[in-house]
Amino acid sequence: MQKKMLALLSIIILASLVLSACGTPAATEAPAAATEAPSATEAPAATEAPAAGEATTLKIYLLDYTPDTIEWLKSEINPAFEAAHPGVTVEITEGSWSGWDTTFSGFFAAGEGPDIINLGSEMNTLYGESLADMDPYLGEGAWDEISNFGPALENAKYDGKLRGLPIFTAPRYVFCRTDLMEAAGWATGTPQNFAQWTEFASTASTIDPATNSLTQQALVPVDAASMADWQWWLLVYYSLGGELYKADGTPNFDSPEALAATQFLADMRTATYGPAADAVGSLPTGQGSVIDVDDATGKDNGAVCLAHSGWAAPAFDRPIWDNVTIEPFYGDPENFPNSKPVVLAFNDWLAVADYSPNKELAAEWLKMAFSKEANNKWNETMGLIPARNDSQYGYVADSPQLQREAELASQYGVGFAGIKEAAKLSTIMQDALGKLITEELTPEEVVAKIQEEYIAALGE
Amino acid sequence: MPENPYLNVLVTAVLAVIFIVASSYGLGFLARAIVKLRGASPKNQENAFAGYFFAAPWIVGFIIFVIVPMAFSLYWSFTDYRVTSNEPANWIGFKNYNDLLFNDDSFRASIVNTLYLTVIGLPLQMAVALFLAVLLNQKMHGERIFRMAFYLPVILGFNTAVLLCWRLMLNTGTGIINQMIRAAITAFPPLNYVNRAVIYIQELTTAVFLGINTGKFNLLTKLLEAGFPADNRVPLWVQSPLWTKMSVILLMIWGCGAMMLIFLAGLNNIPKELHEAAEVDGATGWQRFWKISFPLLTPYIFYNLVVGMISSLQIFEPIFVLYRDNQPIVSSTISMVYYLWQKSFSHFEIGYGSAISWVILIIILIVTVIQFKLQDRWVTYDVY
Amino acid sequence: MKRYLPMLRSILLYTVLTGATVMMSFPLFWMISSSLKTLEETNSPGIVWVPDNPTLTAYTSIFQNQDFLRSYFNSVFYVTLAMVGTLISIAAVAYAFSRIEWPGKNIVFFLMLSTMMIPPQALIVPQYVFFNKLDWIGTFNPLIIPGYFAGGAAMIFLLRQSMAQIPKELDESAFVDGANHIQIWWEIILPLVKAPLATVATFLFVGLWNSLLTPLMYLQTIDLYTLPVYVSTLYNINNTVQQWPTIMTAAVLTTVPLIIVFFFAQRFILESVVVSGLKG
Repeated sequence: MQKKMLALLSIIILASLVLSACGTPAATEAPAAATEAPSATEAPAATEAPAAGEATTLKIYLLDYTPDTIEWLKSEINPAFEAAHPGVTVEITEGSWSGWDTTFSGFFAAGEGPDIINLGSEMNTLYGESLADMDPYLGEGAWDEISNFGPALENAKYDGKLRGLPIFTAPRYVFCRTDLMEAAGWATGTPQNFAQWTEFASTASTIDPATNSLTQQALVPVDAASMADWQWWLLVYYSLGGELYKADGTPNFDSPEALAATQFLADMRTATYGPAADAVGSLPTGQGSVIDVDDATGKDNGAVCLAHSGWAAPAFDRPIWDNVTIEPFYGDPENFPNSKPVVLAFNDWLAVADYSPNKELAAEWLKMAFSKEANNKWNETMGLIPARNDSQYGYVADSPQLQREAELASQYGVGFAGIKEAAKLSTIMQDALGKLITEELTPEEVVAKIQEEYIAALGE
Repeated sequence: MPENPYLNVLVTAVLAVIFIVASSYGLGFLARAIVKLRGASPKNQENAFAGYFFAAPWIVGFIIFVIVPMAFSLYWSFTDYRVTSNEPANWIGFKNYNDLLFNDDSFRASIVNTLYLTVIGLPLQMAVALFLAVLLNQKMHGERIFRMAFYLPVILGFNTAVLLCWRLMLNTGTGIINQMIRAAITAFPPLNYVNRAVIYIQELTTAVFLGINTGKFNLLTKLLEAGFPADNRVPLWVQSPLWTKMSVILLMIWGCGAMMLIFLAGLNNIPKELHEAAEVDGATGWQRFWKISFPLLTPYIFYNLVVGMISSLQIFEPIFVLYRDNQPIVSSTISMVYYLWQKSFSHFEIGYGSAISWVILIIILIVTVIQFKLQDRWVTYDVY
Repeated sequence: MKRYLPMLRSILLYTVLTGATVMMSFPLFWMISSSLKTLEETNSPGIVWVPDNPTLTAYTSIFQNQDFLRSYFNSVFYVTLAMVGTLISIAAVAYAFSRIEWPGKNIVFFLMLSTMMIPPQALIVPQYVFFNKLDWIGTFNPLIIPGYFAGGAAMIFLLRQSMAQIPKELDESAFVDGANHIQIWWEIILPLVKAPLATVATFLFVGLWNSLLTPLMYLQTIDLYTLPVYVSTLYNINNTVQQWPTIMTAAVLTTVPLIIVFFFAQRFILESVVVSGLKG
């Protein structure tokens, strides 16, 4: 028995060793197909490489990628960078959006980790204190190409200083199915003010009495079921010309715009679902886009209009696009003269951590990966709009949807940036808006609650 | 240390084993020496040595991987440590605990929610587990397959795929669960009254609890105004704050496979002779269950109760996967640990989060100690 | 009529059981069904029961995916290595709590039970900082080594209960014969608790195999990723179209070993769980 156990153990260990020996060549793969000279990237400027002979690793942590993106980075950008900086290896870590917050908190708590981190739009105030001031390397005096970055650049700043570079801009548009609008008897296209929206909502939403749930929803604003997502609220608020903070920096939720935005959300909800007591069921959630058509059954997925990012819309090669328009959200010019069309943009970006000992190297890598051609190529692999205005060519112009989206983004784009304590605000707002749609609180009470709690949160 | 990660961990493992063996001997000798000083018999000395020798891996691991991190956590709970700011942690004394226990509405709400899930969800979970175990205990074909199926949820865990599947199933209009309810009602119309009554009671109860959370009872008033639910009502599952807790409980029940196995093992351990003798004496199945099976199952019920209660007081995963990105209604179902996670990793207030974790720990400790003290009253061991 | 009662009972029994089985296994069924669909077929909301033309393309392509294969191997490697050490140390610690009387035993036992009550989220950040100091970030070490210190109070508890059932006379006669504790542990006690050991092994296996957060935090590069972490990277928020068939295929393949292991281990689990004498 004893001998058998020992034998079994040694076999397992031996097997693991053998297998791992077979496994390692794959694990440490040399960059594949790096045969062609990297033509897409400029010859690196005559920047000083770190003291020759010092082996350094530049670590980059990415959260949004497709296999093509990583492939391109590893085969074109990284080898070029390593050639220009002897002794430096670039290491890309591919993380996942589930668990990023725990992982990042580990990095910052330990004071060690990747040099460059992939962050989301609203994270500049969350991590701002721990991010490096990159103005000396990438700012206006240091890198003249910085002026080519569009409004998305705001997302990469904290406390007035640049902390990294934005990769793409993913604004929220209003996508509408023109054929369904006509079928519902709505002839005037995408609604242009609040009154039109509420009328549209009641006209084009249908409830099936048998199941007491929605079969068609006029507008799906980010979240179909609640219609009370805080980002949707922000979109509406900005479109009214609202500002989040007063001149003295205190929250501005006691403004008439805030109340109007909240009232609008409540009205839209009632126009779509009826009173809360009716307990109408929501649209089914599935795997496809809500404004698309199910190929198998030929039935629509249920939404007439969708206010969300491009990735919630159908894939661009789908035939349904013949019947879909892309518009901004027009606000309420009738009642609020400061209204303006708005596309609220999420801009993911790469930030440099303050604990990084390789800030200059990181800046060099960023310059290379965010050159005009590189930014274009990076986003081409993901089908998104480049953050650099001068990178919006090629595949962007080829796709009518992307072209339209890019136009709207540059005209009406508003960044999702500069929100203090964004995570806490999100929790506060979601809680309050949740009570709005159950009719527990009136719009007045909701904005009062948000104002009070947000002031308290900022005060800490 | 070798570069190759596989070799690296193998070497580290070997080193760890050496370390463990060495510390085991070390601890054993130390224990024996101390006990010897106190004048114990040779047998007791040997036992002290052996006891600490064998228990050493856990003791050492406890110190390194639990005590040290908990010490950090305790320290942080007295500071205002925020991971993401470059400021060092400032000592603020009991402020975190003060705020938490007396001023924090959200934490109180999370306690109420957790209690709701425990008091209502746990008994349901155990009842279903027991019911399934009793069913499986009958003689039948294919019991292996059925057992497999009931344990499947535990194996699957809560990954993206399972989450999406549940969202589909719980959809109010087209989800399969509500469709089954509607089918049942169409087949037996009187069931509709039961359905509507259950919905009404459930919503009222939840509204009461939600009212306790926020201090306002608007929702309850509205519900009472609306009166008895209409004809075509079905549960709203993931759509309404009145139903979020029930959907979490549904997931808890779905995952009762582990409990069921324990009960099944317990039922297996009851000698058949007892049941046969009772049958000969003319006892019905029902009587046999309550007089024989149930009392002999109490140790297993106790185990499931203790473990289940610890687990439900710490509930996190089902809420996380169902509701994290559906924010407006999440406040109606935040559990204590979910709140801890939110404060620590969403708002990045590690200091505050540490205070929360200590409070949770103490709550669970108290509850478990109470359970152990009470076991003498109702748990029967070694009856035969 | 009375004659039919047993049959009626059977039918009822099987109906209820089948119904419950359907409920329990529905997610798995749907995962498999999705993995056999084409990308277009996954486009709809609601549940499409069976795809019209089941296709194995997702399966064939995933088996050509180096990252997937490697993460499969990583999972096997790390789980095996972790289990070997964890099982042995759990068996040792359980022996201490069940077969030996030593001073402080009750206190230590209670401490051990109380570790079950610590919310795991509380330990994440301090442990990360600690492992960082050891330079263990980006390796398998934090996933495997803590287990070697008998991590897992519930498992120790379970095994301890089973060991406690064995009559003390066996130990005593062995002592009389001149055996020491290690020999008794290895040659007498362990063979008698084979079934509970198999149970603990199964539960450990399930837990380790499915673990997501810890590997995500500590294994920083894709060539080290275990299966659940790799599968989570397949779901990319910014993708215009989620590759559902691929994600589901990977999820199904992740579950297969668990199903196999559990199917064969069922018998042991039921034989072994004996939980009397909980007063400890």
